[in-house]
Amino acid sequence: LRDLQEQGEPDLVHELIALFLDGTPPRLHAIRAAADRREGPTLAQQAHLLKGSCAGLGARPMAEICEELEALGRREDLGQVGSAVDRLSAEYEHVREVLCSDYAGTPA
Amino acid sequence: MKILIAEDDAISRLILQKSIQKLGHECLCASDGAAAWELYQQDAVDVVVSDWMMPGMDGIELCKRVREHLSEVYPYFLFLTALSDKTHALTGMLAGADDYLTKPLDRDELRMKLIAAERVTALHRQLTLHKAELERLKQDLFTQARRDPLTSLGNRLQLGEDLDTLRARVDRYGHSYSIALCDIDFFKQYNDTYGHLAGDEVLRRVAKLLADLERAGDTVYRYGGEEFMLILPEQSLATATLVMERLRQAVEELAIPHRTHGSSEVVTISAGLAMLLPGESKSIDTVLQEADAALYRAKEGGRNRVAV
Repeated sequence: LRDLQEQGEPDLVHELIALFLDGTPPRLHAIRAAADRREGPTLAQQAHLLKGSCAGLGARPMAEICEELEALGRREDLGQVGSAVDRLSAEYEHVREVLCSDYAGTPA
Repeated sequence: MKILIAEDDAISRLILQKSIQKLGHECLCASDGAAAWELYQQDAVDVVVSDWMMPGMDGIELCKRVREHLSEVYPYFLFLTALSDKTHALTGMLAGADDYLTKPLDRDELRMKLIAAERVTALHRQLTLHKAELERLKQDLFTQARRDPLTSLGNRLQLGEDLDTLRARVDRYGHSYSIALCDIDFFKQYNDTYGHLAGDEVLRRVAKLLADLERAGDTVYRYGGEEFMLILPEQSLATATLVMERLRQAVEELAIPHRTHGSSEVVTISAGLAMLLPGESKSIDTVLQEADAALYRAKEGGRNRVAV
């Protein structure tokens, strides 16, 4: 990703991380809500969206859990979704910590 | 190239945008299909890179619209699809896409597909140019085929088509036409005396005079060797005779020397007139025969005159 950084432009990596940190909590919330309400299609759609963001940033474990959730949602196989959503939230916390410690010090 | 991105995920969109810009292309971004469609219609886009699933208008619908939209350029359409999802890729191709990109974005792959896109759009652009060129040549040929190259007047082909139209107008709208057949007097003798090049020059000068003096709505054609045909709309035989008399006199006043003329010292014309009137079931051929017979009478009567 750093390779895309152009001289003199606002820091792309920071911009992406900011987008991720701003955008992910509401999506996690939406995923959990869909899981709680047992809405398979909504769950699949929300998980799909988040999957794209995670994959783009290289957060592969998160992307994988999203893919799993998307598949479960599409199949309306909602028995296991609760634990998957928990794992997703935990993984997000992990990613957030890494991102914050790696980039918090660098100037934007 | 100008590239339109349709992607609802902000992070993927930004990465894609930066990657495309880094390859030296211009980028337009939309966060859903409908916004992409709006942008597409406003701008000449070379490539569309579209996500598959988007709220509202999805990628398939966007692709279909792009393909149905009439455009001077052929937009290259790339689908974004998950690596594992080959069925989506196939559906996308069937909907009109040219290729697909797998997600997450592989920048080498993006670069290769954009090289292909550049090649294909350039070919299409060339094709469009050639098509326009061909169309122009066709038009030129159409016009040339209906012109007499020596005098630039309409030729027999043009006359034939115009007479068909005219016949229909007489029947349908009750229009009437006078038709005049003119012939340069003793033209064979002129050619024999002065040579064919000089003869061509006489044809050109007489043709130009007839064309210059015709009134708006009248049309002059080169009918045969030294014969010209005039179509005079909405003229009675009497007024048409006046018109032709004026033209006959004008040719005489050109004062082109013709020492083997027999009865005059200069080039002259004779003319025969006939009419096409509504309510008559006369065929065009009959009218032409009548004009020809009148011309014959003008010749018999001593030439350099107009006969009906």
